[in-house]
Amino acid sequence: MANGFLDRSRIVAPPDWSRWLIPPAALSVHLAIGQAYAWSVFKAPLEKGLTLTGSQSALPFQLGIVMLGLSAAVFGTRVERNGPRWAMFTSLVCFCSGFLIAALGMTTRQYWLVVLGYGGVGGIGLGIGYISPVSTLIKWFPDRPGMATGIAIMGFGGGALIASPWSAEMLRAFGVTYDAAGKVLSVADGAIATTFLVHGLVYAVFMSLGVLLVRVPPPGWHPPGWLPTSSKTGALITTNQVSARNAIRTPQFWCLWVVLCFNVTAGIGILEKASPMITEFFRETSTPVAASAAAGFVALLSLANMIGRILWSSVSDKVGRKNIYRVYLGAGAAMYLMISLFTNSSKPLFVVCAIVILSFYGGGFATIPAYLRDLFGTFQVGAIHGRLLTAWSTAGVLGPLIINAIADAEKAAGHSGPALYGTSLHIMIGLLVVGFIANELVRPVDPKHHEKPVEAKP
Amino acid sequence: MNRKLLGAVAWTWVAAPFAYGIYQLFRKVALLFH
Repeated sequence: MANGFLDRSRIVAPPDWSRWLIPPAALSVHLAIGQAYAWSVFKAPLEKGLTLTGSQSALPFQLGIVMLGLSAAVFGTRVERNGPRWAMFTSLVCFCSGFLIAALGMTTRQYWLVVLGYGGVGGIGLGIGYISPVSTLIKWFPDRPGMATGIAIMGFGGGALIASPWSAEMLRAFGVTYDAAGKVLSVADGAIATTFLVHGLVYAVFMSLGVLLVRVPPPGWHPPGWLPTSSKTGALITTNQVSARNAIRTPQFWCLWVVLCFNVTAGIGILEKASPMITEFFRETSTPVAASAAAGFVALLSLANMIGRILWSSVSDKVGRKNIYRVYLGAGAAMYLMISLFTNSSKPLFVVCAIVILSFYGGGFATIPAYLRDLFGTFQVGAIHGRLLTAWSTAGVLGPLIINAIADAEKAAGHSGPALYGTSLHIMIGLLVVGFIANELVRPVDPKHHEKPVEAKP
Repeated sequence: MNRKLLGAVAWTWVAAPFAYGIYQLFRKVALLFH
């Protein structure tokens, strides 16, 4: 139930409100919850401090990503009904409580509390926070929905860039010591617990900007000089509305599910193994790649992923959503093909192809809310997006599974260098081609799924 | 609060940590060219 301060009716914007205040509200949430992708910073100190295995120390993150998909799917409709302030506040409470529970777990040396707190409670905050600004941004920017959602979803990528060095510096300050190669030497009592505690408190303050600042447009609002009829009247852009319940009964939803899942799988495939992949590819050449250069390559891919989110989603406003996914999937497959054909003959070619693939990976994430809005309208686009994020959870398992299993099998067979990844690259090409076909199958939604006008009021 | 001032505060609020993250990222990217 959303009453009082959190109620949707309390955040209807006054006439002079600027829509450019909504992106920072969205970013304050996404930059915070994007911390999830920097969990690896905590892994080695946890393993040293609590004598855990690598699999055990990954549990909070894995549970968090599963909870992200589940909570986005389960709470999507409630987020639409209660409004973005309720959603951002709930996300703040869950995400930051997760850190505080994890701090308690470290203090009492109860690791299950860290898993439950960060992964379980915090993971719910990730899912609700991820979808919280989507519908609102699309309503404020009907003329540029791709760019608007691209800004927010770029923030999720940016969150890891901030948290990774920040968390590492904090761990050092509170008593975790490392050797020159970055290996953990010792963990002082309370170092990780204090770090979790500070994270919880700082992120609560940071996210509160979004809670205070977010507004929904008044009914019937549109940008000056823009009318719904003046938007591009492509066959796939509807002025009708489809509920989340009906959307999942349409073939269009499942086509986009396949598109997102396989585009993400292909991107994760290279992101997951970027460092060992570039090292192995060029190990037997005249210009092998040093460990520090491999770390630089990973950082470069992170940058491509983030820039791709804002760049390609903005381009989609001009060229159309179906066309941009043709590029992500078609050109993405071509990039993988180039890597598999030219293997280690050209390092610049390898790096450029990987950068393009990762920019398409980010673009695929950022453009999907606008694609959903085109097909299903704005009525429950956040809830539909939440349900579609199960494709991300699936891809998060599928991508690393494929590339790790095949690399291990090739290594066991005595292969080395590019041969470790050849089969994986061909599988990624196949997945992208299937995604391309699924995108080609997207047609306008059957009118039988449309809401009657009176039911579709926001 | 004045809308322009509010906008400046809000954008600075999110841009400052973002700039820190980008700076740290470029330091790592630079390793690729060493």
